[in-house]
Amino acid sequence: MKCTNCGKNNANITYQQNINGEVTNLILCEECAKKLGIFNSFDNIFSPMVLDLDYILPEEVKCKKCGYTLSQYKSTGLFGCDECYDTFKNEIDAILLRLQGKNRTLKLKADKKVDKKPDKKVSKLDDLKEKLKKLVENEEFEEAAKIRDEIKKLENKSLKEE
Amino acid sequence: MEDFNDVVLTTRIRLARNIKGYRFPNNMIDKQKNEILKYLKDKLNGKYNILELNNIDDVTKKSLFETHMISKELLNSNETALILDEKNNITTMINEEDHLRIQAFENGFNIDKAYDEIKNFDRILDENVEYAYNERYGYITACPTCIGTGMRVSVMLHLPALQKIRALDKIFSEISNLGISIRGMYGENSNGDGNIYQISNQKTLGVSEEEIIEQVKQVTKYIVNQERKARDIIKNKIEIKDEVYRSYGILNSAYLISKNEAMELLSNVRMGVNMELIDKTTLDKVDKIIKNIGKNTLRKNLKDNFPREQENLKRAEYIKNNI
Repeated sequence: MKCTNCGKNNANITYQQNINGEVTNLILCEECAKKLGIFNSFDNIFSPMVLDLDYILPEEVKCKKCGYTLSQYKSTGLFGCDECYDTFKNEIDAILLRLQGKNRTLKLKADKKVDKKPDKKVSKLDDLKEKLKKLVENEEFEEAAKIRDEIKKLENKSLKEE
Repeated sequence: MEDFNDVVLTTRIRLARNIKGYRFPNNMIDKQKNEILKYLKDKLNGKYNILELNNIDDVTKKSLFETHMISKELLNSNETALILDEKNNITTMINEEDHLRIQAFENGFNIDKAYDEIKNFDRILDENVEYAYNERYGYITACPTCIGTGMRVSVMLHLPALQKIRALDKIFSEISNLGISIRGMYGENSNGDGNIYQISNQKTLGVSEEEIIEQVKQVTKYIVNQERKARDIIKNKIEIKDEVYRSYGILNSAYLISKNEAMELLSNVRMGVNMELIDKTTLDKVDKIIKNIGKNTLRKNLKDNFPREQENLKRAEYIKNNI
């Protein structure tokens, strides 16, 4: 049987969680089980009975920008800044699925206002090239040389800008 | 669009927006919140006026709350402000739960008009400030229940007949399965004063604005029809007619009246007018009174900063003069 989380690897772990009587069965591969924090490694199953929790528990992840933690979210229901949505991406995906039934947006905005200038430059370049072609065809070499220089100038400029 | 004024009082659309690169207000100290005010003043200079709540007198502020233009959170936090675009019925709250909460208001059932106005305003803001937005989640908000479109469409409904035939609970549980939430008149954790309830979309993510609007429209139409059916059922009962006239009688003769009692009685009269049981007043008059009988709204409209003890007296007087 394939892992129900990634759908790729063979599943070798069954995990049953019971939250307030709501039972969910997960059939997972080792990798996904680790990722989901179900257990960190098989070794931990045989950990000593008495643990110094403070020592074992890793320090909570903080948002790099605003210092917010997931426990703060749990007590306020709010996040700390827009970057929290990157910091806690995985947890937020799960939270959103629960709250909203979905965790991705539809496209709401047209793509960022594209700077119209480069377009203009490209089209100006195209125009000039077209002109040059015609001039060469008509053997008007003097005029053509001028246009050629202009094209070079424009191309260099846009190269520099990139 | 069909006239739903017998049941729908007002329509409101709200968009939650934040400015890229800043913490959310809940994670800011006052000084940082002030930076948001400065940023907006700078970016919107000459386009919109930013009114700091600190600089608005107490009566006006509280009246804005009583008439649903601003929330309690905005009233009670520091470094909050407003953008009032009265011409287009748009009020934007600054430094509430999000940096910007844009709201469009319309009387009656008028989602399309509110939507046009709010989109227009949102577009102008978008051209001038940089919103927190990403490809994955859309518009980023402090609370994950608002993320995505950031849009909440709500309709204020008067449901006295459904309440009288005790059908509200059933209808509310039905519509909550359709992704619509129901609250009392003053939003979260308030009950339906004067049988007035607010319905709105629950979900904001992974749906389009058009879908949200369509969903709220459909559910509104459904509830309006149910309320009308309920009114038909009770219309011919003499007890109902009696209640309507007694309510009118008290409103038209009392010398002291609390807001709760007034709302209860106005609800009966409003229903009576719509059922054509009573023609001593009109829907417009009743709706105007419902909107204006908050303590501070009375103070503001009467231009009389009366002491608290006189509240019920002034309210009774106002109602008698306007019903």
